[in-house]
Amino acid sequence: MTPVQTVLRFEGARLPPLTSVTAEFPVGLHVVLGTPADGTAELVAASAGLSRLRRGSIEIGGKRLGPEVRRRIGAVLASEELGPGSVARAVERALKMRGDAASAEQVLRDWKLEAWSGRAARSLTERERRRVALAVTLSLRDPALVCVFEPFECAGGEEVARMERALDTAARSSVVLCATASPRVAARLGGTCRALFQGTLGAAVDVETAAVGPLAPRRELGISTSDARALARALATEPFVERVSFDERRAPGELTVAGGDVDAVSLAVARHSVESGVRIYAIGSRWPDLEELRAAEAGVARAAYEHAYRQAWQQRNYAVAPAAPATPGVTP
Amino acid sequence: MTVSELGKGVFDLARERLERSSLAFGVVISIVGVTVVSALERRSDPSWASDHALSGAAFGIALPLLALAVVRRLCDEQRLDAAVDVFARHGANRRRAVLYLLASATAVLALAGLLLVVAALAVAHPSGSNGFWADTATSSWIMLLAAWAYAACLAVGSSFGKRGGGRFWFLGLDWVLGSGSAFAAVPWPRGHIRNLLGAEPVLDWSQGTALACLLVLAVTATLVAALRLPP
Repeated sequence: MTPVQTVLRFEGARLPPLTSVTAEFPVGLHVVLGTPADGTAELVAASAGLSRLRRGSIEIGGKRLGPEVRRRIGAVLASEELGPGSVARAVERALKMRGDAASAEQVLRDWKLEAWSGRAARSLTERERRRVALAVTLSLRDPALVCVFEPFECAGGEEVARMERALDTAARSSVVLCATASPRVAARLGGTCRALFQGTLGAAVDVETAAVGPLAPRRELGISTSDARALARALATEPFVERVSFDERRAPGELTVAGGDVDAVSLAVARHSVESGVRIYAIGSRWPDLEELRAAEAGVARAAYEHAYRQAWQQRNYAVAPAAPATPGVTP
Repeated sequence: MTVSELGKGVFDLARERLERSSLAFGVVISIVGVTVVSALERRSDPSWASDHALSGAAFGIALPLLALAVVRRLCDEQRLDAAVDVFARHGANRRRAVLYLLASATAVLALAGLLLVVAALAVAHPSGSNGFWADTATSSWIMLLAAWAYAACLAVGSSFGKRGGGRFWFLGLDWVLGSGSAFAAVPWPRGHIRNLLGAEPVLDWSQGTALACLLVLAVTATLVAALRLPP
């Protein structure tokens, strides 16, 4: 088999809701940030060669996604079907079709899924099917492309760290394309990030650069605690804390604390927890959601538009200005 | 990947998809319907009862509807290409997978069709006549061919439309155009099957020509169904 140079190229690919995607994904990790309504599920399926495009083409290393290329593509789709038979049989079939020497038992054991091997594949829940598909995908040797829809939703617990390592390893020699609706996941995965909005793919942005801009976490802490009211009362007196909020009815144990110095706020939370005996179950930075990011992006776009409009208006006025004010009593 | 691995996978998939459907119930209802129609035909005109029961209820109504149900279920109510994506994603050739899927559809339809033939002839055939086994044998090979033709044509129909809605169009056109005997009935299986069963021919063609037409139709539809898909 001739080696496929791994550059994933979309050329005017149209598959509703994807409008006309023209993009190149070289070797490395790429995150597409968007909701399923924007076409992330279709983007992943099309990348895996599983959707018939209305127009345009998708190639990997200049080759169409034929059987030989598809054998080197690992994909976890939005909706997975493992095929007939038991889970072990479905995994074994997938490995055989790819010409992989690994055994189904080994793959399932590696991902701690051996308990499911005897179950009928169709009896698995959607999430369980996606976990099996992830195991099969990440067991692929020398892949040309790995594409995963919402990677953190198909891995649970300690698998997340393992999945991240596997994706990083794969990204060294192949194209890894992850689609997510969560800016937090996008920031955590790293690589380059592209926004997908209403079927249109935006320009690539380096996640590390974006992490101080639109993808930066908010200066807020989300705290899960045993007594949110007591902790809120204690934190309200802290000078670093700018705002404390909680909803006793909807989420009685959840508290949001905002402050300019997040580290100082964290230390204050820890101190008050020890002093007042309030238990902290979880603490973490709050992240902007996708809609906030889009609003920010739209705000920037709007500001840029207004700036350009103002400049154009001024230029036009200057050009018109000498002729406009007519001197009283002088007939042109 | 071995061909047999793909074939086994597709046959297992077909079995699983059909098991989940109410196809068995549909077959039973069809047999009951054909039996009732055959009994009524026998009561009204015993000499032509078997001909009318076969060309009307069995081949004319029950077989096309069963074929639609089987093909729709085997495609998982999707387009034909999406029906085999579960194998194609791992590098299987879609065209080859669809041929296996068609073979499964033909086998299931032929089996159900044979039951329909036996039910129709057992009730409609005049009691004490010697031609029962001869008629059953003749009707059986026609049923095999008809099952293949319908499965292949519906597979072609399934490759059109967002969710394979073309198969409904095919069935509607077969019903409307194939029921006649003019030139418009030539590209549809209905008229040729009717001719083989001894009823009104299309364009006054002989039964040999009808057989050739049905074979050409089945082979062409099989090839078109496979070649319309990306590999």
